[in-house]
Amino acid sequence: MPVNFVQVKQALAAYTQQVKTHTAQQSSLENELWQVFESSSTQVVKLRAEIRHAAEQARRLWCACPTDEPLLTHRPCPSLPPNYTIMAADGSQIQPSRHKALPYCVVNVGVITARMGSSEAPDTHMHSRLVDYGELFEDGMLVNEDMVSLWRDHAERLALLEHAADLQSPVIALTDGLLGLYMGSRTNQQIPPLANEIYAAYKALAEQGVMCAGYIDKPGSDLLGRMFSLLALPENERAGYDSKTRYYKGISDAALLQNVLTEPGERSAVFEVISTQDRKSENDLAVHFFYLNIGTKGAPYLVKVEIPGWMVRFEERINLLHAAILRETRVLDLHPYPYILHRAHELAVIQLNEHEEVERLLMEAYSTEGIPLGMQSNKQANKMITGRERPDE
Amino acid sequence: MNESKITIGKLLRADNAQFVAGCRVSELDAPAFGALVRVELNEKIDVYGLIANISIADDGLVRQLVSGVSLPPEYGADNRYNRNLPVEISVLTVGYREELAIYHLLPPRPPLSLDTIYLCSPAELVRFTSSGRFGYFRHILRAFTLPVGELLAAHLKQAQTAHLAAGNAQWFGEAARELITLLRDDHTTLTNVLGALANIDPDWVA
Repeated sequence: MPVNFVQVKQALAAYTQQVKTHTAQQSSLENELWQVFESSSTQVVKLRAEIRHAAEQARRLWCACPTDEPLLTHRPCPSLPPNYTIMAADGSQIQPSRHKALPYCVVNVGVITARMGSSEAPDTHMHSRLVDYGELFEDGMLVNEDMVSLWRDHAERLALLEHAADLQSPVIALTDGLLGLYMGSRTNQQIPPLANEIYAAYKALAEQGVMCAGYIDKPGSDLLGRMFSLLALPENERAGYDSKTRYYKGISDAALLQNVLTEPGERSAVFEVISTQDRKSENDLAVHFFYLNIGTKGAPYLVKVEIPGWMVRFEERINLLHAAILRETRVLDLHPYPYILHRAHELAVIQLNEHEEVERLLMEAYSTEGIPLGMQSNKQANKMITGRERPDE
Repeated sequence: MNESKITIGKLLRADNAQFVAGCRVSELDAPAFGALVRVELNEKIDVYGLIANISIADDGLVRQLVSGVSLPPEYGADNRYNRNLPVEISVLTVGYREELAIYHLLPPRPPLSLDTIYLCSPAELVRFTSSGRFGYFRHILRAFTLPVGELLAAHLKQAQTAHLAAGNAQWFGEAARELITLLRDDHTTLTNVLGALANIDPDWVA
């Protein structure tokens, strides 16, 4: 059945009114936050001390913390050296599904390495892993999407480490999304060792001087709002800070920093991510971030770049990363996004026909070994009849 | 017939009268418009054809790069050599070889998907074009959707070079006279062909 458009249309008037009311409230709150942000710009030492003190006391905290740069920092794009290396890894996966005839999971990672200044075509590599059968189940059930995402993140980082060896420095290694691991809903017992391996890969890359960065397009996080929500509390109440009741709710860092990064190509100050859940936050791998305006004059578009803490000590590396990412986004300037990341994604993505071929190979192998195949669910079978859908959708 | 083993691509689709091969840009040095190519149907039969068109495919990314402000040379090379955008080579079938005999007829069956297409050597070109009495010209002249004059000119120029190297200076004149005979009732095509031939050998046309 199609959507009942009459019902949707009838709800539109009330809906748009809700949007107007919410937008007006948020705009007012955003102005308030901006006043605090602007007036605190040079007080970074004081802010940092207060946040660190609160972090020691709070049971659960996730917010930004300034580094040495004033909050209103807006650096123009530095010049780019003629020669540097930039690489990217991206992954995709075939999700295991109980609706399929047989359970399996494939993690596919594409890696691309470009030696800028060489005029040579980049090197490309593919890594495809059929996940061990024994890893597919937890407590007798198929693993969830979070676990598969972690396998993919893990494979991406190991692929970067493998291909970063012997590259001519300086080397930038980009991945799409957060640099740190999102541990929120993951409860699988396998996570700690896998997370340790990811941190070990980051550590090894750092020892090689490889500048890892996570690129976040259309970022929605509000770590600056969370920071000022914490600081808005009286000092004796900060230990009991609960982000669910924070004052500056729903104002993204990008919306706030759009007031600062008015010129195309500018980057913001670097901030540290304070996370009481991240046990690595005190070391060189503590996640830091800055925002970058990759838009055009009068049409700003802010993206977030996450970097490990060790890089913050080297201004020239931040400058290189700033300029290199901006250059990348200008290759695809109709919809600005780093070319190298787009290509890594293009390499990694598993097409429907490839998906089907992997399943066919598995079925053949089952048949050869005399292993009985299961049955796909009736729901899945009907989906496949009505359209060429991915088998796990 | 293993004299030439310069691979120019693999077959994408075919019928008896024509076939299309795909290759990567990095393999694009060998094939040239008008060149004679060969596909092995089996041990006894080779199909011959002339390269009648070479087309370069695009996709959404290439279109975006074209309109972009800045394209580092490394990424231009990435699109040419790494990305899976095949060059399509259209081939007009002009005859076949069975055992030692060459026929300027359509082959018993078309080649199959993923068959390898080889560039013919000058010796093969001389052998194919010397066989019979230019019977393969009729395949070219009836290909109305192709730029017939240009295709003939490109082919004759390459064949003339091969025949001259083989000591046969008469071949080009004989080929041109045969074309004039075949086109005596088609003034428009004849004018086009003569115009193209004049670019190869102005003295002959004069």
